[in-house]
Amino acid sequence: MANLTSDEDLALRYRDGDLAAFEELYRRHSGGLYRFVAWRSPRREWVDEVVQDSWAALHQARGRYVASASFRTFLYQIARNRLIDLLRHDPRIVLAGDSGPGDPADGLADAATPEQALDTRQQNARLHAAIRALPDEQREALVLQQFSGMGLDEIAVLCGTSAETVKSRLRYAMRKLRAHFAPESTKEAGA
Amino acid sequence: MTTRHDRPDDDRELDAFLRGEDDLSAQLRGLDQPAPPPELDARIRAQAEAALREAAGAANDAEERALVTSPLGRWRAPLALAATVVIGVSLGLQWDGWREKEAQALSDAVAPELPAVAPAPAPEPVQPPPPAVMQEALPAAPVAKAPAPAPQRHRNVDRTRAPVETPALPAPPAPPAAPVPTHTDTGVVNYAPQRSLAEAPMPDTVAYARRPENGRRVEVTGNRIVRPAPPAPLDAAAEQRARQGLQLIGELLDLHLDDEARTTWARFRAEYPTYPVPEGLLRRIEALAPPVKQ
Repeated sequence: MANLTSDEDLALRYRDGDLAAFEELYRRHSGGLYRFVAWRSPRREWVDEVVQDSWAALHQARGRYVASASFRTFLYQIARNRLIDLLRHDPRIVLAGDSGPGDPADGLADAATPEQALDTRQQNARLHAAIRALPDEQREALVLQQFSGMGLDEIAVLCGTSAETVKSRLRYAMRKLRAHFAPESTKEAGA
Repeated sequence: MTTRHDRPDDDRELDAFLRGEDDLSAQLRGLDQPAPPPELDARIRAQAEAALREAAGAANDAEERALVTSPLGRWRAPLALAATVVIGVSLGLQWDGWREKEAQALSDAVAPELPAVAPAPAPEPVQPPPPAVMQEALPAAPVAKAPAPAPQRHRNVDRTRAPVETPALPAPPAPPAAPVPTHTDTGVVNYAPQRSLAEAPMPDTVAYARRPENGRRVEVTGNRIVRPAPPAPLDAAAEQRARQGLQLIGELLDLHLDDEARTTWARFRAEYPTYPVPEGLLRRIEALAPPVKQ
């Protein structure tokens, strides 16, 4: 399937029963959606379920899809709402962040060589901690922009706010992450 | 990590961060990221494939059920044929009855202008009526002995509605030398379809020629068969699309995709300006906040 084909065209083909179109959509968005859910989910065991539910919801809704809506926004919104629904059922759980048990990078360094494993783990752990420490809205904007490749306008639509607000959130997130690593950078610069 | 933290809010730094051109974004990119496990990929793909197959099967089943297992089922085609025949016959009967009445009315109107019933020794060649008139007056003209007109014929009548000035048909066969058959006392012969155009007497011709000025006839047939009742109803496919459009708008509203909902609603209204919208949905659409200016 040509990469030039837009998501919206693919979604229309998928709506009409074209499995190849779905395959291409899945290829394009499965990783980004999974990262988004993983970074946002308070529990690791929820991630697969939410992702699968989101794609299943897309199957059900595909007949009603019209090209006026951004496909990716539509897909991510489904996943976002699923997470929110789960949290509504158990308000004691908060989204992955300050005290959330979910760590999207748990075990991710397992595949690294033994020599690099420690460094990788430490570096990732610090960065993960810094990201988790971000306020929820800033973290969401950061994940969508940096990890899922969304533009400001898309994030704004998804989060129901303006692009300027999204930009502001990203600015704060960037500042905090930079501040978090400032001592190390200073050390490195001084070394 | 960059050493320029002294100006963290610098727009250039933010732009570089957003474009992925600075150290921080590079470090973020370098993070090990969670990825869908292969078994999840397989499940989702299989789910999609099954959903599509099921949908295709359901569509086929629905078509078959509609033909075989519905209450009408296999009788649908014969019933449709029978209904067509009944409608055709009843229209034909109506047609004949109407023509008799019309002939009577016209004869009353035309009689004073007509000469007496005295047979003309050599009648003038019959001026053929214009096509529209021909279609109306002589269902099978110029062939004689045609049965009552079928509905399709009525459609032609309506389409070919034309003023009397419509160019005449090619000249009919030469009139017989023999005198015209005897007329009734009113001077008008019944509209007998058996009579060919060549045999048609002058009073008939007059009556036919005048008919388009009297819109009543065309109106009757047209209303019954051709003219759709305004506004035109949506066909099944359009009806379904409209329903789905409303469902999508509702779903977008549920998802708080206000801009998408607003855009979809505008498109929907442009395409289906008169399609009824449930009151609840309409209220939700009207309650949408104005678009955010960025």
